[in-house]
Amino acid sequence: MRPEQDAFLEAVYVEQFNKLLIYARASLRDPDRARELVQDVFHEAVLHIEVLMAHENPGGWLMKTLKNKLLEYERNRQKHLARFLSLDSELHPQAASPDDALAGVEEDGKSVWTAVREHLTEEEQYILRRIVWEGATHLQVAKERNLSVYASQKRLQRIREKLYQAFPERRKRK
Amino acid sequence: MAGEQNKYAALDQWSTEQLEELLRADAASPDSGTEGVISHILEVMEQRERASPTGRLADVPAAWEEFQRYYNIPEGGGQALYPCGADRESAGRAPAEKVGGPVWRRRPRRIWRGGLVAAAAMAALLCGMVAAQAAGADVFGALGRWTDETFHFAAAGSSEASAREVDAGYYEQIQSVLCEWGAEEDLFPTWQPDGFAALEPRMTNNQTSKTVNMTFVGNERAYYVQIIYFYVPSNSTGVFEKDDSPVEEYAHNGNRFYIFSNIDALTATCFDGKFMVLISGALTIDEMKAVIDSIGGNRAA
Repeated sequence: MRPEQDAFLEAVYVEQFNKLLIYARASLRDPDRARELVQDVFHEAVLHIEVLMAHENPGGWLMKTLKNKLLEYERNRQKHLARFLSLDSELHPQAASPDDALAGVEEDGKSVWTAVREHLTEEEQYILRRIVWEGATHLQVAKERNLSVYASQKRLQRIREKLYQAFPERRKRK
Repeated sequence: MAGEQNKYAALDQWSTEQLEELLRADAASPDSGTEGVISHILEVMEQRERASPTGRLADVPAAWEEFQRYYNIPEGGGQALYPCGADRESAGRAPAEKVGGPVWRRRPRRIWRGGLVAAAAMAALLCGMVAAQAAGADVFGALGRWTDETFHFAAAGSSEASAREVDAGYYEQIQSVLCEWGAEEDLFPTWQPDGFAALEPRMTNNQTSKTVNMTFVGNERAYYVQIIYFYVPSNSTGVFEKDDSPVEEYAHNGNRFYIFSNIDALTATCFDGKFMVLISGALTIDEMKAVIDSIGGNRAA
């Protein structure tokens, strides 16, 4: 970005960050996830900096973007609730562990978690457990595994793809 | 802009939890047109947090450093960690620019949520006008009332069209809901001060709790009773706004109620780890205790 774009972004960040955080926290009741969504809103701002700078109400633009992200997040959560185990969303069932969450759930006569272990590396199992079951943010996983947040996200996407290959029936449901 | 903000000044009297509930409702609604009231609420909440921090605000310089270090990095170019739904529809436009309409449209039952915020804004305006005329009456506490699903505005001296007599049918309606939730004792008051009528009871639920809401209006006053069933164990059952008056403990049927005031509203609450009873509104301390004492008592015939 150009220096004037950097300066504009920092000014709007300082002015709007906490307002957006209050809104996201009220919606999600998960402070860490709320903070990460707000950081992602400002990342969108970087990607669309020229649009934002030309906008008559940058704060409104950011709020609208946050709201859209929250709606999409909630849409995925609802989808998850409907299908019990979602491979599409960073969500965690109310269960102590994957084994608890998937107890009794079978695919082709095999425990789902057993199948998950067969198809994923230990690193992938760790990321799946932390993000999906324990509700960790990408930032937390990134710090724990010395990754970038985007690497965490991509690995989760890869994990989902592997699981869809392992459980083709789930892809059909999707 | 100052005028725009002043329009919603009555919302300044709402508790932080009530304002958060409005934000939650707005976030869940694809509707637009609530920007003014939301902006005002956020301003109020931020000011409150600065005055009395409860952890809702971030250290912005630290957040900015975190943003630059972890999120605003070349690897993130062109992608979002949490995509907007609309991104999939037209990738070339900014996420906030493309939403002339909602990101996703479905489930008409959610339409009320946007209406709730709009209703709150309207009520805030109306409340401000009435307050100017009421000269000290508890206009806001007595007349403005919202639940998860509805907003009631009962003008002074009037009853809403839906007001009804508190009769046996009313209690049976509440009782059947509480039985369904597994309540082992009667949790609702069976006495109201003279001249009060009930609005239709309303049931709401969220991810962790279900609530039956009872509102009573009369004598230019109003109060409400909520029975909240926490079906998912929660460490957070709400924080109540109060003034500097002492909290009074009041025992009834082996349960301990805490009674406290906030400006002109009196609140009493009791929680057994599963069910919370909350009574709040424009009641005197004697009336509040009489309402509490009627819990589990004889019902109106």
